[in-house]
Amino acid sequence: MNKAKVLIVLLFSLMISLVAEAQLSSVVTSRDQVIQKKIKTFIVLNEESGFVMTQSPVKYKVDDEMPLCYFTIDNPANLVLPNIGRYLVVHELKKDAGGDQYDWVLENNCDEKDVFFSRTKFITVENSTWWNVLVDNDKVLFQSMVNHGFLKIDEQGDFSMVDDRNAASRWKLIYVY
Amino acid sequence: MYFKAKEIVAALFLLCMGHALVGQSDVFYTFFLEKEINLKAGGVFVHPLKNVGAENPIDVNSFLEKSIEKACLPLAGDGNEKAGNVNAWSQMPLFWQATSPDKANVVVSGSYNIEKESDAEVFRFYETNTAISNPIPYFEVRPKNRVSAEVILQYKYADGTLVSDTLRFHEISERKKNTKLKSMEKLLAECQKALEYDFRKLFLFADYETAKFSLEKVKVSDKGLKEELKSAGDLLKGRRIADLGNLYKRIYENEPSKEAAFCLGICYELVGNYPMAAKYYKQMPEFHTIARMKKSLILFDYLQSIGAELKLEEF
Repeated sequence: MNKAKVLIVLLFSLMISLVAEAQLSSVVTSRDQVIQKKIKTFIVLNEESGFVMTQSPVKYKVDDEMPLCYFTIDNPANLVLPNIGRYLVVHELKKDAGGDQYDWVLENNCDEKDVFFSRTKFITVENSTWWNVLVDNDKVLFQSMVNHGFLKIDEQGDFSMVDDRNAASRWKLIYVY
Repeated sequence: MYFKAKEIVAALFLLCMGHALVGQSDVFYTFFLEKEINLKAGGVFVHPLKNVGAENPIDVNSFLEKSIEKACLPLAGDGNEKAGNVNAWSQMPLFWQATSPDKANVVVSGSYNIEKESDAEVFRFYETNTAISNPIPYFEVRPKNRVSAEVILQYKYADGTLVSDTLRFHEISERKKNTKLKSMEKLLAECQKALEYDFRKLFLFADYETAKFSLEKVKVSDKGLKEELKSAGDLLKGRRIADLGNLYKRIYENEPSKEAAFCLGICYELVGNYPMAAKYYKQMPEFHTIARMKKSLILFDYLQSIGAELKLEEF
């Protein structure tokens, strides 16, 4: 009887651990994971406009292969801001090297007053690529660290920055194995 | 020196006793009942199975046709060829395709339904790292492909009674972490393969296994029979079981012995006359033979129960 109880407890613990293992401890890909190519990739989708975040945003289709993004933390010192969030860098995953081996990241360029994906090599204002990821129910908002504006995507798929949090686009992160 | 002399004396003693040192053996295949099937011996008429589903991605009727064709000569497979075709009734067709339902002992009909479906389940998670003050939500979309098939076969016998068989296949593939999603084409191919296998096995009621048959040393006084007995091993190797059975029958009738009865039993078993084999084996009971005969007689009785007319060879 006791053995049976122990067995049940063990099985239950195993199930719990398996469930826990199935979930991500963090959406952020560490530097080591980038080197090991164990990148946690996401489709970053704005359901209102139907666009997926990428250099030239594309419409989301369930059956098609979609552009993928991943998140890193550039400076470990900025890892966590208590009760606020984390400043993450949003990268676009380049699967096909094909001569385009640069690291493309989402930049809020205040000089150009524009938001776009840039090559890290040419970015001079480091924190222009840092985004505070804010949670709104089951979606997230991207707040720039440079001017604290919020990322918005319009019906044409163009990025812009808005000051009003309510006007910001909500993004759904879809984890892709 | 002492041992050699002893062996020579023993050999001479056996010779004087009139024993023919046969001791020949060979490997044969024996048949046994694997499972009972719903066909009765005689004419079988097949109505094509009706597709009751919306789609028709698998040609189920071709599997049924092949299965019936194979059932017509159920024991004429590899095993029988290896056995040297010594079993007389294993060559007889037990079933044949009737030209009309009226002329059939069994009318096979039925239906099939193959369904395929694709959908996706969406799961919401949050980061689990407890050090994170504001865990970020994310989603997982787990696409799912499902294929299921159900084939219902009905057998209507000449006396009006009905029985049925059901073949089922059900496979779901879901994309999860470390688990790839099987494409619909792959699932359908698996379904086709599984149904083909099930149909292939549907009417196979017998299987075979190897058995080593060893002729016993038989005491023979008659000079003529003793001379003939020297060829027993060759007759066994050459699969001339009718000649061998005839020889042992004459020996047994001339000079009954349990060894001669046993050898005659072997000959009857090899030609498929199991009742006669059992009768002669009884005179010299041996565990392996009893066990083998028990299995063979079950097949024999089953064939008779489904109406097979088994022509039995006599010596």
